[in-house]
Amino acid sequence: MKLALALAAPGGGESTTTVASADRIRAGPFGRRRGASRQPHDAELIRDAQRGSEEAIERLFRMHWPRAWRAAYLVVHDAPAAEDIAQEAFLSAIRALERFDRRRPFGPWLHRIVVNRAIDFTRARKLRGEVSEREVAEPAIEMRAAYSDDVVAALASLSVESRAVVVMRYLLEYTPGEIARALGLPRGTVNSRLRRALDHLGEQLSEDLR
Amino acid sequence: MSEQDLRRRLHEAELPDESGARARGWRVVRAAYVEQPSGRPARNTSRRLALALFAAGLVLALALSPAGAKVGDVLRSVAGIDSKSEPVLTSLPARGRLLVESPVGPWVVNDDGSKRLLGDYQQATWSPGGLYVGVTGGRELAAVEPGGTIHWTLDGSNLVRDPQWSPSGFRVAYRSGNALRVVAGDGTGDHLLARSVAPTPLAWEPLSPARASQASQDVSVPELAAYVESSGRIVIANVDSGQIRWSTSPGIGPDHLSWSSDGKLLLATGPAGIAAYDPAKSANPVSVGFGSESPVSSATFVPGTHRIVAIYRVPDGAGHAVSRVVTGPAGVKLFLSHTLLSTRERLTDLVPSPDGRWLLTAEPARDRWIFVRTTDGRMKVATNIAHQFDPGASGPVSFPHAEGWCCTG
Repeated sequence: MKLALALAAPGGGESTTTVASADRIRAGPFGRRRGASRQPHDAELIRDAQRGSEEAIERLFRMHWPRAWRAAYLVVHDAPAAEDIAQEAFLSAIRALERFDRRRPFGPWLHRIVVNRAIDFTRARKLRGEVSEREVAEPAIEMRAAYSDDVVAALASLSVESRAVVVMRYLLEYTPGEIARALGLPRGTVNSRLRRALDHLGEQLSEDLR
Repeated sequence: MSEQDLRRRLHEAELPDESGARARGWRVVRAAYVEQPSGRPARNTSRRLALALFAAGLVLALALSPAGAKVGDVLRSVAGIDSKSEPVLTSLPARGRLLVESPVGPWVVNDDGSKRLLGDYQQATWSPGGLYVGVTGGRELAAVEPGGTIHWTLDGSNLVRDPQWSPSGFRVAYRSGNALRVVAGDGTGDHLLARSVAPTPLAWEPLSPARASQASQDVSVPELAAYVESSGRIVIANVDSGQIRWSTSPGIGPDHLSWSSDGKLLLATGPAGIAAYDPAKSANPVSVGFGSESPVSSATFVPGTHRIVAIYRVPDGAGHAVSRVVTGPAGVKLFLSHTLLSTRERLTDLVPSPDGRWLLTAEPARDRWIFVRTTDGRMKVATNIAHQFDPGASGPVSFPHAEGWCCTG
C-alpha cells in the first residue's frame, strides 16, 4: 500500500499555513480558539516569563513539551535520550529567555533545536558504534514487536534523516520549505526524502495489514 | 493509510513513560527557571546598571592610564569574561556559521547556536559562500552539503589532510601523504602541485573584485596559493601551471599562512615568529614580530583590514606565563599596540567572524570558547564546549577545534 503524498496545497503552491498560526491550531486545549475562553499566546507567556512568572513558564511547558518530547522520541527511538533532548531544548529556551524576540514564534524555535539535536545524537551514537538498549535486546526482525504501534516500528526502520523529515511534516506539521530551512537542507532533498520515506512506510505497513 | 492517518497515528501512538518524562521534564525546567537571573528582573536590572557603571569606569581608566592595556587585562579577567559566561553555546555573536572539528566529526554551527554533525570525517573546510564543506576521512576527500548530503568523493592512495577550498570555488587543495594536490571543485581533474610539503595548510590568494566577478559567472580564473615545502621554504605559485612567483630561503618553516582580504599581504606564523610579506614583490618580509622568546601560537588578519590578531605566551614576571590575544596593524614593528585578552591558560584557535568584528578563541583547560569583539575587547563566553560537540559521550572528551567562520551572504 502506498501512502499518498501531498506536498502541494490544492491551489498548486505549497501550503501557506504559517508556522505561527499552525502552532496555535495545534496547541490543543492550551491553544487559542474562536469562541473558547481566551488563552494567552506564546508571546504573552514569554513576556510574562521574562518578568519572572513561573506560571507562564509552566504554561509554555505544558503547551510545548508533549510534541517536543514525542518528536525527539520518534527521531531517536530511545526514551531516555528523547527526554534529555527535550529537556536540553527547554533549558536552552530558558537560558535565551531574556533576549528572546517575542515576535518570533516559540514552537518552531524549540522544534528546530529538538529535531537537530535528535539527529546529532543519533549520528554521534552511530559513529561511536553504540546501539540503543532496545537494539541490543531485540533482534532486528523482531524490532516491530518491541514497539506499541506499527507506525512507530515502521518509522524506526527509516534512516534518522528520513525520520526527521517525516516527524517534522506529519507530527509537527511543517511545510517542506520550513523543514528545509530548519534542517539546513535544499527543499528538493526534503521532498525526495519525504517521498522515499512514505513509500517505505507504505510498504512496511501493508505487510502488517495483510 | 492516508497522510491524515499517518498524522493521527504519530500523534496518538503510545510511547514509553510519556507521563513520567513529562513530570521529570517539568521538575528540571522549573528548577532551571527559578535559578535563572531572568526570573528576577529587579535584581537583573540593578546588576546591569552596576555592570554599566563598572564598564564606564573601565573605559575611563583605559583612556586615562598609559598602562591601559594592563588595566584592561586585569579587569577583563575578573569581570569581562566571567560576567558574560553562558552555560552552553546558545548563539554566535555575529552572523555566519562555524565549522568545528570534533572527535566524532566536523560540525556546522549556525548563528542561532543550532548545529549539525556532518558525518564520520576528520577535517573540514568551507567552500566560498558556504554552499559546501570539503571534508577528509582517512584516504578520502569529499564535498558535502552543510546538511550532510554527500556531493562527491575522491579516494586517494595516502592519508588525506588539510583540505582548503579556493576562493573561486573551482579548486580544492589537500595534502596526500607528503604531496600537495589540487582537484577541481566538482571532484574532477585531480593533479599534483608539489611532491614534498610541510604539514602546513596551503593558503589561497583572495580574489580581486574583477576575478571574483568572473568566478561568480562560472568563468574559471587562474589562482595563486602559498604553501610551505618540506625544506621550510615558503612558495607562492600558480596552482594550475605550477609556475612559482617567489620563494623564501629554506629554514624553519611556518605552521600557518594567511592572506589579507585584499591579497596585498601574506602572514607567516611559526616557531620563528611572525613575518608579513608582500606577495606581489619579493620574498623579503616587510615586517616581523616576536621571536622564540615569546612564541606565537596563532595569527591571522582581521577580515577586510591589514590588522593582525595573534595569540602569544609571555612571562608574567611572577614565574608564570600568560597567553595574550593582541592586535595591531601590519607594516610597523608589530602587535603590542593593543591587548584584547590575557589569561594564564593556554589559548588555541583564532577565528575571526566574517565581518571581522569578533574573534573566537578557545581555552581548552576551562572547557570554553571566548568570543572577543575586535573593536573594544568586549567578550562573550560559552562553556561546556567539549561535551556539546561529543553528545552522549561519558568521561573526558577531546576539546574541539574551530576551523572557520563563514559567511555573511
